[in-house]
Amino acid sequence: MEQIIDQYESQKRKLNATMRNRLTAYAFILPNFLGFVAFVLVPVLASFVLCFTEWDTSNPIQFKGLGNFLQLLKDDAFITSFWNTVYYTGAVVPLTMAVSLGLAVMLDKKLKGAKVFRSIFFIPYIASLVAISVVWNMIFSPEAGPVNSFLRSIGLSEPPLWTSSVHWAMPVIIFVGIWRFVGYYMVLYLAGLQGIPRELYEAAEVDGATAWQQFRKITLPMLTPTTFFVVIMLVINSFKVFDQIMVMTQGGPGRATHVLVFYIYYRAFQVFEFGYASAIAFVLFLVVLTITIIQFRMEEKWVKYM
Amino acid sequence: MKKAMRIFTMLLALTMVFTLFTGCGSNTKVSEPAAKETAKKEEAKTETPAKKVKIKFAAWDTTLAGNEFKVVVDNFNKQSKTTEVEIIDASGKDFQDKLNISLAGGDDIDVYGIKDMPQYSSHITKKQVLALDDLIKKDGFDISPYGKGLDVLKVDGKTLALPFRSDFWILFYNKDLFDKAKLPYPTADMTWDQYRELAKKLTSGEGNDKVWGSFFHTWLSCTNNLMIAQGKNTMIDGKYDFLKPAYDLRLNLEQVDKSQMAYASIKSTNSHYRTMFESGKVAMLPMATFFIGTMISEKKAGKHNVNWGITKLPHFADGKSGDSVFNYTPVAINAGTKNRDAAWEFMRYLCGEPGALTIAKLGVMPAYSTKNVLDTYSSIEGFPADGKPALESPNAFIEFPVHKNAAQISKAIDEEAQMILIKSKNIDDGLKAMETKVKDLIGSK
Amino acid sequence: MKKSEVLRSLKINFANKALLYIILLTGVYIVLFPFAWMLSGSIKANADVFEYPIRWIPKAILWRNYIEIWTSIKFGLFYFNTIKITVVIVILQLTTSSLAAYAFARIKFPERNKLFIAYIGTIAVPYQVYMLPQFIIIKKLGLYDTHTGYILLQAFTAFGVFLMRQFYMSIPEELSESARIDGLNEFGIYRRIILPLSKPALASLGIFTTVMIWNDFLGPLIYFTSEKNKTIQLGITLFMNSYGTDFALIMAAAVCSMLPILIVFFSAQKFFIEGIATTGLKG
Repeated sequence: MEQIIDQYESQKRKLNATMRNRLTAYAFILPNFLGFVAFVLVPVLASFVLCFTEWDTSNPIQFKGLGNFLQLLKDDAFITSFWNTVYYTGAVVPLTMAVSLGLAVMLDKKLKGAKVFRSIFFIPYIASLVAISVVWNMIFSPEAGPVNSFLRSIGLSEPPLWTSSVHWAMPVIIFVGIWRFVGYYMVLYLAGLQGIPRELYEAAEVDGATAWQQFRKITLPMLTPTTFFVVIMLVINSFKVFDQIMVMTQGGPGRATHVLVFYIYYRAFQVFEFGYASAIAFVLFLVVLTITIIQFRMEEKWVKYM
Repeated sequence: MKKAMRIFTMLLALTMVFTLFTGCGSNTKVSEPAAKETAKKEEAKTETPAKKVKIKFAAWDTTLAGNEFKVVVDNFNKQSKTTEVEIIDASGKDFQDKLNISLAGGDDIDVYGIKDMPQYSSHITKKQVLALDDLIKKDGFDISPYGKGLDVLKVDGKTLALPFRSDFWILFYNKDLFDKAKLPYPTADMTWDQYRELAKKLTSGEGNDKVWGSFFHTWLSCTNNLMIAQGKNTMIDGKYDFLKPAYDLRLNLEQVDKSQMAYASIKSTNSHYRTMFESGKVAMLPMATFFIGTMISEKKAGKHNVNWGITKLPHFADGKSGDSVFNYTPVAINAGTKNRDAAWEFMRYLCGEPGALTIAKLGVMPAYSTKNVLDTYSSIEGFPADGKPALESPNAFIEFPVHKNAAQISKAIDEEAQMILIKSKNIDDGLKAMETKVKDLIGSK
Repeated sequence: MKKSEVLRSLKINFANKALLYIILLTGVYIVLFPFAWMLSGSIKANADVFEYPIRWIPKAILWRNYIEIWTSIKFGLFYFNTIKITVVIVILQLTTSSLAAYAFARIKFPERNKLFIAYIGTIAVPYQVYMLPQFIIIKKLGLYDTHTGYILLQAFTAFGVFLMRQFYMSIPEELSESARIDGLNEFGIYRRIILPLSKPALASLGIFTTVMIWNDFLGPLIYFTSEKNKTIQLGITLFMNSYGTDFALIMAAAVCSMLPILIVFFSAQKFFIEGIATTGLKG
């Protein structure tokens, strides 16, 4: 009997504790959550409902079931955009990670001028895209641009046409994408590096570990929470690439840089098929979500939280 | 308990900080729309002459000095006793995006300008335009000065917009460059073959001193328009082999004669036709009449010193002098307007004679063309003395008639036109690809 | 013998350092080349911006471009608006995200993972899709063409919560435990222990939010109609119109708009670079 009461009591206590935790948690979340629900979550959910409809904003909404998705399968422009987006992401994610991590490690040290270097590498991220994309277009200009002048001077008689070439437009976009965001991820890595206890390195040095060993055995594992965040943000942002394409190539030449969000934008605001645009966005969302969930599943395997 | 209190006070403090911050700069603004709303309702009911009805007019580039929309609106507000127009502005590049979102989101714009014909089609599909026939009839508003321009805007016999500006394509040329090359100025009856010959002779120099004989801008319609001008086909026919001569000409200019800057170079160096022509680097420029106003006002402002002339657009051997292409700038009343009468009052001012005379003085060609208006237009200071014949009796056609899928069709065509001009596809394949891409779009008219 | 060893290690050290600087300077060159072009373009006449081969120092230096951007449009007002909006949003973003993230990282409650996925999920949805529903909400609230409306839209993003959560996760749980034993409640732990340790994360979130708002174009384009509300990025596009684009002025305006953020970044560095005092408590 006593045992049962005990069990009951302890369960009650547990429940109470859960309840208390819940209340505390909600109190913390609430200020952000209210705004988030009203201005982000509700609009996002509304756009999901639109996936299954046909809506041009003026005529009444028509329910279409999976019609939009069936149409997607036959839509050349969608399929091209999808693969272009995958191409962009596949190139940008690893390259940006490598470069930004490299910069962060180099600039974390007590190096003369580190502060200046860090600021310089951050500049591309804060630059006005309109102004800077004009300059990049000129740098890659096929006839007179410095890149091709250089290539010709080293004996390449027919250098690529870059943004005017179906094959080279995307690499240019990728290059500019990396160039713009390396500084941003460098900052994330720098913040992450601050969390690594210096003692670990000191101990390793005493044991005679080389710089490379220290990097592999201490820095990389200790940085995994940051890397986890960086990978997810990079994947999401690469899948959502839009503005630099909008100002540099407008999806062209032909459809060479036609990516998903560009297509969504076009379908929604030029053709006014909100249902169809939402369906494309839904596919994009599913892809990113799958990748993110896989990452979260694997989080326990490779991310080491303290 | 203590904990709960603390969290509570913290939340309270946060809310206070929040309201404080968002309130500090904008508490007046928050109440403003509500106040406006009530004021408007009252006005609509009582129609007191003391208070003007406020209407919103969306247009682009109105912050530029001497913008024609702005000037007409200012004049209108000065003379109207019943209506006051407020301009909703965006830059020309972003205007359509902003307008589309505002209209879709139910913003209370009363009257709006439309940048091009595919956009006009899409406003019609979205039922965002008010039919004007009753208003026109009621007032006995004279629509004859629009000529056939108004028919182009009609759908199923209904007038859904009035044209504000009407531009057509002509040829601009730099007289000094012709004089220097000791060549006669281009005539009103010139074929594209003759144009090609001239362009070749006018091309000279290298690097920063390069002078191009010909300049077609990056708008893909620049090339298509040469064929549209013959009036035999339009871009919604679904067949595009008729465009071949135009692309042949363009590629010959670029590749064989090297008298025209390559499409890819113009794009990547952002070479704008205006800067190129005004800096004397271009001898001949096929462009629409809206460039006349720019040339005049910029010369007055001292921004260029080009001795320029205009003449009719060249034509192909099987065409004739005066063949050209129209561009309209329609203005429509929002179907959901609550101030129909005020909107109409403004509309007939803007697109009628008062507006037409005002913009003609600015060097902008109005769609409402009475003799009075045309005389005003060609007699403004800075208009090329020998240019008047270029504007007389054009035989112009519309590039993009109203079509439900106009926006998509035009994008599909642009994509392939681009492939041709960057030489990723030959002309025949590119034109074929256009046809395949638009097949489904054309059918569902 | 000892001497030669020291000498060797010095040599290696020197070679490493030299290599490091070569790599960094190459990077600097790639990063700064376009900006040098931009700077030089900002003091040219518009027609000369595109001349090639580039003349780094123009024939006639047009400093007046920098005056013209302030006089030809209301750049000062746009500047003020942008600063105001940015400051308010950054403060809201930092306070609310760091609170919410604390719950997601450090308090165990049943709906935690589901709620968190809902947050993260929205990051993956492109803005262009929910732009219209969002617009309708703001319109219905009567907040169209007000700074308040725009601030509300931008202040509560999932990104901030995600970033802060990741950082909190890396702070040892033992710290919270010992604080709990000392009698601190959750808010106390957040306020006294966690927040002071999160300066690097707060600083990065702050700088990211600043840049995002400062450079946002689409949002202000849609939500601000009156001139009195407009921001710098909208101002810049005023030099771009259907009659052509004044690239010289755009570049001058771009340089002016970048400077404040660059200064903020330069001086905020100490927050996310300084080592944090958690070291003694780890391991």
